[in-house]
This record gives sequence, structure tokens and C-alpha cells, in this order.
Amino acid sequence: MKRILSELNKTNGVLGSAVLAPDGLVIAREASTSVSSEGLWQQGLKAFSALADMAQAAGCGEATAVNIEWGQARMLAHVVPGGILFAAMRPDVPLGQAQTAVQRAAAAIREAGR
Amino acid sequence: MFTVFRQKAPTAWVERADQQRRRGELHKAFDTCRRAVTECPGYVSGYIELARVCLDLHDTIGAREALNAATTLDPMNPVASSLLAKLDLAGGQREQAAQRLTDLLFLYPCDTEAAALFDETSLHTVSGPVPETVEPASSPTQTAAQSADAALERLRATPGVTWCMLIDEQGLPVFGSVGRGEETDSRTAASACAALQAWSTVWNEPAKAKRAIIECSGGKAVLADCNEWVLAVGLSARVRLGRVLGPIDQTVLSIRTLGRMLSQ
Repeated sequence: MKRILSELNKTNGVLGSAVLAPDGLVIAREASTSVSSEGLWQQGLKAFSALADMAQAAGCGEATAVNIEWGQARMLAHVVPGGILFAAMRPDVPLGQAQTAVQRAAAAIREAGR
Repeated sequence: MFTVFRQKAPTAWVERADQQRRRGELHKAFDTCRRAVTECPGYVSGYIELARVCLDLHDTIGAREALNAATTLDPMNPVASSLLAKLDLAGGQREQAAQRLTDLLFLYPCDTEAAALFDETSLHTVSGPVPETVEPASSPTQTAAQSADAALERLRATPGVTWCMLIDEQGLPVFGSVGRGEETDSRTAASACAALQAWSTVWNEPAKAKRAIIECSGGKAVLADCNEWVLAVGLSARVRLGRVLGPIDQTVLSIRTLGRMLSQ
């Protein structure tokens, strides 16, 4: 898992990544010092749950991925077996490129779980 | 923490300039705007904010130059056109102001500020009546509701948009809500709104999220911060985000303008 996250972190603009279980347990974490705080990932999980609940209540179905944007940062979350993969990145990373990198890491986690 | 985020997105420059302007730090706001338009010359809002700062500094020439730059990029930008009309009126060019406002009201019939300005030109009795689509406003809140409804209707008409609604911090619909989003209970919607706001403890500076995109098995949803309210939009599963984010941003801009008008 750590190797997959390290690979993801090599993507230009990615500052850190983590996999959290739905109950908040950190399964793996790889990050630069600027995003080393565990609170960031816990907050990400809380936001993911709230946003997923709203989307489901509105009839969009079960959430598979979430992208949260600030003026100065972006966080992507992707559902993986047993948890949620989070990646924090700079806002200048194009959305498509960011999604591809996270999807690739999610696929690698799924593959490793088999 | 997060010193790597020093590189500003154009929206961040404009927001900082807006805050500085509201605090009365006009020269700082001016510098921020100049930097924004130098670094992002294609960002229309940068020129509009620069114009606002110039107006506060009583620099009408600078304001006009900035607004002309904005309308060169976006010829019928409602905010820029409206500010230009104000400048025309202040300069005694009533006919030019009336022409701008007639064009603007044709495209944005519920633009209450433009309608009020048009009344100020005192020309509509000579050159023709106010377009029929502009209904007389009985109160600012009522006209704001009309404008919000019109903005939401326009967004709803965008291909790929299945529903949209404007909600407050309690998750309750404000003004008007359209479509399936109404079925979302307010508690769930309020948690989603809170999810956009609760980041200041982890980011080093106040950091309300601007936008969240949720991809689901049966479609997509977008939540966008409109200052006082949150715009929630449902999208069909197959829609390409690149095609709808522009109209969503445009709606956010309209709603924010509306919010500013109501708070003044």
C-alpha cells in the first residue's frame, strides 16, 4: 500500500496521500511534511461521508469519488476496497490529470487486494 | 503548513482584493488586482474587481480602462456592462448608458440593478418602454428571488443538468429550488454545506472549500460555494464535467452578485 501511495505522490503536484477505513482508521499514509497532519485526512473522510450522503439522498446513487477544491488546494477521494483513498494536491494540477493519477492508484490497490 | 500553496489561483487574487477593498485598504487592493490581471490577463473578474477598486479611489479613467478590458474579453458581461453604464451616467452620457442597459436587460431581464439604473437614465419614456419581460419590483427580496429563479432556470436548461437548488447553511432551499434536489432532506444538505466550511482547522488559513464534485453510480453532483448560500447541482452520469462547469461558475457568479446586492 505504501509503495502505491509513494508512486501516486510522484505525480506532479500531489503533496500527499492516504487510505482510511470508513471508521477513520488510517490504513496507510505517505505525505510531505506540509500535509503530514492526520487531521487533514480525518477531515477529508468526514467531508466525503457528508457529501456522499447528500448525493445519495438526492438520488445520484452511491458515491465513488469526490473532488474538493479550494483556491489554494485540491483533494481527491476515491473508494477502494476496505476504505477510501485520499490525495491532496496543488490546485494547478488539471482535474483530468489528477483524476487519472488517483484512479490508477485505486486500481493498483484493488489489484493488490486480490 | 501549506507554504507550497503560495501560488494563487486567479479567484484567490480577486477574493483577496475584494476583502482588502471592503476593509478600506484600497491601495493594497489595487496592487492585488494589478497583479491578478498581469498574471492572469484572461480572467475577466480580475478586471472587474480592478474597476471597483478604481471607482473607490475615484479613478474613473482607470475604472473605464479596466471595464473596457473586461468587456473585450466578455462583451456582454452583466457586471462590467452595468458598471460601465454607471460610469456613463455619472459622466452625463445618458443615451450611451441607456443603450448599454437596454442590451443588458434584453439578455438578463431579471437584472434588478440594471433595471434600477435604466430608470435613472430617465430615457425610457422618450426612447421606448422598459422591456416587458422586466416585471416591476415590489421589494428587493422579491426581485432577488426572481433573479435567483432565472439563474437557476438557465442552469437547469444546460444539457446534462438534471436538477439544481440553492440552499442555506441549514440545508433549506432559498428563493426557488428546481427538480429532484428538493427531495434532499435539510439535515443531509446541511452536513454537506458544513463539509465545505469546516477546513480552517486543518489548512493553515481560513479555507472554505469553493467547490465539491461528487461522482456517484447514478450521476454526479456539484456543490459550489456562493458566499451566503451553496448551489447544489445534479448531473447525469454521462455528462462531461468540462461542459457544465462553465455554466455552473456563471450561475455562482450571478448568485454571489445577488448576495452582495442584498447585503448592501
